[in-house]
Amino acid sequence: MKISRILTFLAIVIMIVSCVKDEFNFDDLSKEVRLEREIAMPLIKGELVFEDINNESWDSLIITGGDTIKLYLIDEIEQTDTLPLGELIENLDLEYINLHHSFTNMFPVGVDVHLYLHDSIAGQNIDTIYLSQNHNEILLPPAEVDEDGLVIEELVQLREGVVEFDDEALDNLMERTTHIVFIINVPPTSGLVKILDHYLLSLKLGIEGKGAYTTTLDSNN
Amino acid sequence: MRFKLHKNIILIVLVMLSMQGKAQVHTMYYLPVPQAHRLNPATQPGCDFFLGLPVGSSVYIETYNNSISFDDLFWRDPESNLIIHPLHPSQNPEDLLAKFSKENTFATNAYINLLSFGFRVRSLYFTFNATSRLDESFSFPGDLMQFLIRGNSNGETFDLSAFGINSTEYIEYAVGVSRQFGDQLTVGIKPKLLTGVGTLNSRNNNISLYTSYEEWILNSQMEISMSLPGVSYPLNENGGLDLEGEFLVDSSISNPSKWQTLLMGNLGFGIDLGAHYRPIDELELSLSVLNLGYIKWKNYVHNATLDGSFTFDGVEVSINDTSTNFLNNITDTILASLDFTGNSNAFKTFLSPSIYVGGRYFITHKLDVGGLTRIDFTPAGTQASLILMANWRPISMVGLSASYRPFGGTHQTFGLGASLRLGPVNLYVVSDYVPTSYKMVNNFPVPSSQKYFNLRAGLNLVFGCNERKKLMKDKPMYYIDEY
Repeated sequence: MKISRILTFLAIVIMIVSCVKDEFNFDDLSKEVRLEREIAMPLIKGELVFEDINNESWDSLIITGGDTIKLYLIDEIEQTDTLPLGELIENLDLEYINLHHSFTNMFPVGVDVHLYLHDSIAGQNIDTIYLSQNHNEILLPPAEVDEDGLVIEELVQLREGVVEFDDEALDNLMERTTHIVFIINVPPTSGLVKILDHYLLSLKLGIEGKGAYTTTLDSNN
Repeated sequence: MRFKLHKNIILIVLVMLSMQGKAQVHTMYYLPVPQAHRLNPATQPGCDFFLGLPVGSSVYIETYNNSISFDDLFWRDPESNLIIHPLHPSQNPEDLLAKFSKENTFATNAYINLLSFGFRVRSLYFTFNATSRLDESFSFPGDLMQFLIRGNSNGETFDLSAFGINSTEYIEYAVGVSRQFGDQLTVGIKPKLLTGVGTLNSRNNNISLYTSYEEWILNSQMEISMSLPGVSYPLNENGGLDLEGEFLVDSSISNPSKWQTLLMGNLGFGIDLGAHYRPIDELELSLSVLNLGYIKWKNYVHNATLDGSFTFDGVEVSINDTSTNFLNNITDTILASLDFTGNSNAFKTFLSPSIYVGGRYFITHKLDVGGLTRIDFTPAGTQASLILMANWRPISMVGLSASYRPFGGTHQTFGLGASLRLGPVNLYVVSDYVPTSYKMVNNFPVPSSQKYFNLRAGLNLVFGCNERKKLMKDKPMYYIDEY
């Protein structure tokens, strides 16, 4: 009986030892990680009324019920919003980025939209991404008005487009950009326009892109 | 007195505890140990009396997943001699994604014997066992891994319906009786009283995610039934779960009198049936149907239904709001859209039945070979497998069993079982998934190619096992040297 128990024990030990394929020590684990991903997602949407764009309160002048406000547009109006990238862009190797945009402009003034790639360390904008096809043209022309100067609302159209980041823009984005500055700009306009209280500028942005994220996992992470 | 328990902790604990696996070790089917009656209630232990003491007499653990093994996650790069992984720059992540199926399950089962005994009365054999059973499983869709690792392209739809959790803990009180009819037929029946401790089950999941640069659309239908002892659920005005609320635990739940009330509040019933038939001396045919039954949950019950569609088409921005936090906005928007309805009606959960059909041929009275067909009816679907078996009893005190599942690709398994009787002490250990290869990981042997593991082991006190003495006592002119 003792002999059979010893033989059984030895058989188990031999079986385990003979089946050992390799010896691992996790000190030898490579900590390099590379993740290649695609992404398609909506980013932001919004509907901006005149106060938003002008960055001042005009409540006292906006009269509801279809009355109009008459404004002389002389100074350039510009509004900005800033998206800090933080560590998002670090270690990222972008293959392509397409920025999809759609706008509806009910204002009887032209509106331009573009992005600045901003380097906060150097304190300067390093690139400008124009959403319009032609950089010399504003993105959204003024809405058409009737003989009374009021916008013909049924003619207001959704304008869609896509901006493909070229290699230079991709390089600037990955290597130096710390913030993306979003600019809505109403260029200097002369004359008189009429703006109803329900006029708005709607915007929607989405991205489609592909890239690879490379990092090294260390014990501190 | 009440204290707050973070909802995430509850969820994590329940996931960790989860299951619904195969839950029986089939290599034990013909192994001469008292616990074999758990696989076929017609099986009569060889000894006239056995006693299984609490915990030590029978412990069963099982863990498995149907997706990946250690070898799929880590291996040695022959060029650099480093250990690398699927997300290493030199590797193609698609190779990892190919390992995941449409539905991927991680499961754990643990059964601990509280008390068991059995005894023979002429042609009858009675058994009793009280067992604490914990069955847990968590499943997730292969499309989730695609989404996380490869990302999403424009116009792509992910099927996330495989998300699910099934977790149940209950105590089983089983009284079995087996009767021999002549020399050929033995039948057994084992009714069971079940007392539920806690459960969390999801079902009827239908979840999809459509993604594009214009919008993400999440369609989700899901039903979740839960009975968590002592937990008060945060509810909204519709009686549904409020994910922003706090789960509260009644600390008086630890009072023994409260536990008695709790355990008797979630009652269920089950039954096992079985038979052995020997048309000739050399052949034995077997059939058993296990785990027919249910538990009706009444204590601390909540049924939650999620039925809704959520469209994300961008974070709402206000040009003058400089506090925009993109991720927080998305999270808030999604949470706000998860509108649960619910009720506190009692509900039933059903056990996962199994059917065993098999037979063995006695080459000698010490050695037999045979086969077993096992059909498991699980929430994930019906699974059938064929098992080849051999059982050897070299001496009356020793029983050895081996099983092999030849078909099923990654389901190929090799099982071993051993039973040793030393006087009144019967020791046994049995597993269906004996590893065939190991890696020494930091000097510890790891069955690196295994996705499945189960083990039943224990110790019984047995009496009246001397077949020779019994036969000589009954019929001194005739003796068969079989256990």
